[in-house]
Amino acid sequence: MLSDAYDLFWQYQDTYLAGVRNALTAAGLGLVLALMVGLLVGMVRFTSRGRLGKAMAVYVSLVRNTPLLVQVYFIYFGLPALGLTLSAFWTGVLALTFNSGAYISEMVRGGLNAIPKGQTEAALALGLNQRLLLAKVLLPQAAPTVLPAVTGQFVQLIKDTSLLYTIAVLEITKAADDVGNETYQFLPAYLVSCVLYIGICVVLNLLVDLYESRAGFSKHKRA
Amino acid sequence: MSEILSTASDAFRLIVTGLPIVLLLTFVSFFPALGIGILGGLLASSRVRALRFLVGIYVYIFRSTPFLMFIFLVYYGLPEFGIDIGPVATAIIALSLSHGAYMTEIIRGGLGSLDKGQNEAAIALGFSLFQRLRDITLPQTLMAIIPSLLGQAILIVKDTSLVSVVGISEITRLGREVVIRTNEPFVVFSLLALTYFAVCFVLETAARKLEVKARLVISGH
Repeated sequence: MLSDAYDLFWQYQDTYLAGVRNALTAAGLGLVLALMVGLLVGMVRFTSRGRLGKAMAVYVSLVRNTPLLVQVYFIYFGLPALGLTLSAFWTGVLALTFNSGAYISEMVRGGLNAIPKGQTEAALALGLNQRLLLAKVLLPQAAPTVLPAVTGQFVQLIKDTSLLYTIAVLEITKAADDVGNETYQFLPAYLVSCVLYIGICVVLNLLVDLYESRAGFSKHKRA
Repeated sequence: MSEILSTASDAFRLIVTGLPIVLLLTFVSFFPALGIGILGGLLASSRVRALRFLVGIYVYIFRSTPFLMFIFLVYYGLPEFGIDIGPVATAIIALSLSHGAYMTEIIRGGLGSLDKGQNEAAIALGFSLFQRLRDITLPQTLMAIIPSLLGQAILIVKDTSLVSVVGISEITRLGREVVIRTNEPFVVFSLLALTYFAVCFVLETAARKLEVKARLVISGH
C-alpha cells in the first residue's frame, strides 16, 4: 500500500506538486490579507466602543460560529449573484482571508489588551495621538505575543485550503481525488496527500522554531 | 419577493430535516472522541516514554492534516481492509479519531495542571491506580476542562458540514442543492449560517457559564 502510494506520487508528481503550489499560494496570500484584516479589526475593536466596534464583534462572532464550508459557499455562490465573478482560486483566497482575519483579529485584540494600561496613560500624557500610540507604543509591545499565534494560524490556513476542493481548485486534497479518479487507487492517492500535508507542517514548525529562536523577542519583554 | 419567501420556506424545511443529522453526528461522535481523549491523555501523561511518543505521533498527524482529507482517507481506506460500514459510520469514525486527538491534548493539559498532592495523598491512602483515576484524578480533571470540551464540541458541529463529501445529506449539502435550484444564495446560506450560529452559540454560552462554575470547583468551594 505504501509502495503503491510512493509509485503514484512519482507517476503523478505534476498534479501533486501543482496542488502543493496552489495550496501554499492560497494560504500565503490568505495569511498576508488576513493579517491586514485582523490588524484593522483588532485595533478597531480595541479602541472603539461604538457602533463600528460592535459591527466588528458581530463579524468575528459570525465567522467563529459557522463552518468555513458555509463561508466558502456564501462567497462562491454569493459574489456571482451580485454580478461579481472571481476565479475559484481567488474566491478561495477571499474566503480564507475573511475567515482567518476574524481569528487573527482576536489574537491582536488579546495582545493589545494584555499590555498594562499604564503604557497607554503614559503615552497619552506625553501627548501622543491615537495613531502614534498604536503604532509606536502598543503594537510593538503586542507583537511578541501575537506573532507566535499568527504562525500557528498559518498551519491552520494550510489545512483550510483543503476546503477549496469543494469549489474545484486544484489543491492537495483535489490532487489526490484527481489521481484517485484516474487510477482507481483512492487510498494510496490520499495517503500521498496525507504525507504532503504532514511534510509541509513539519517544515513550517521547524521554520517557526528557527524564527522564534532568532527573533530575540526577549529584549522587548518588560521586566 | 414571493420567490424569496418560497426559497426561504424551502430552506427552512431543509434545515428542519438536516439539523437533527448535525446534532446527532455531533452527539454520537463527541463521546467516542472523549473516550479516545481520556485514554490518549492518560497515556501521554504516563511514565513510559514509548507510549508518550506514540500518542505524540497520533496527535501530530491529526493536528497537521485537514479533516476533509482524513474523512476521504477513512472512506476509501476501510473498504480496502474489507470493512464496509456506510457513510454515517465512516463520518462518526473520522470525527471521533480526529477530535480525539484534540481532546487528548486538552486532557493531557488538564491532568498536568492538577495538583500533584491529590495523587500523592491517594497513593498514601492506599488507592490502586484504577481507583485513583476513577475517584480522584479524572473527575477533578474533567470538571476543570468542561469548558474546553464544549469548545471542542463547537468544532465538531462545524466539522459535520464536511461529511457531505461522503454522501451524507446534512444541511450544508441540502442548502447547496437549494441554491443551485433556486439561485438565491443569500437567503439560503444566511439561514444556514444562522442555524449553525444558533447551535454554536448555545454551546458557547454553556461553556462560559460552566467556566465560572468549574473555577469554583477547582478552587475548592
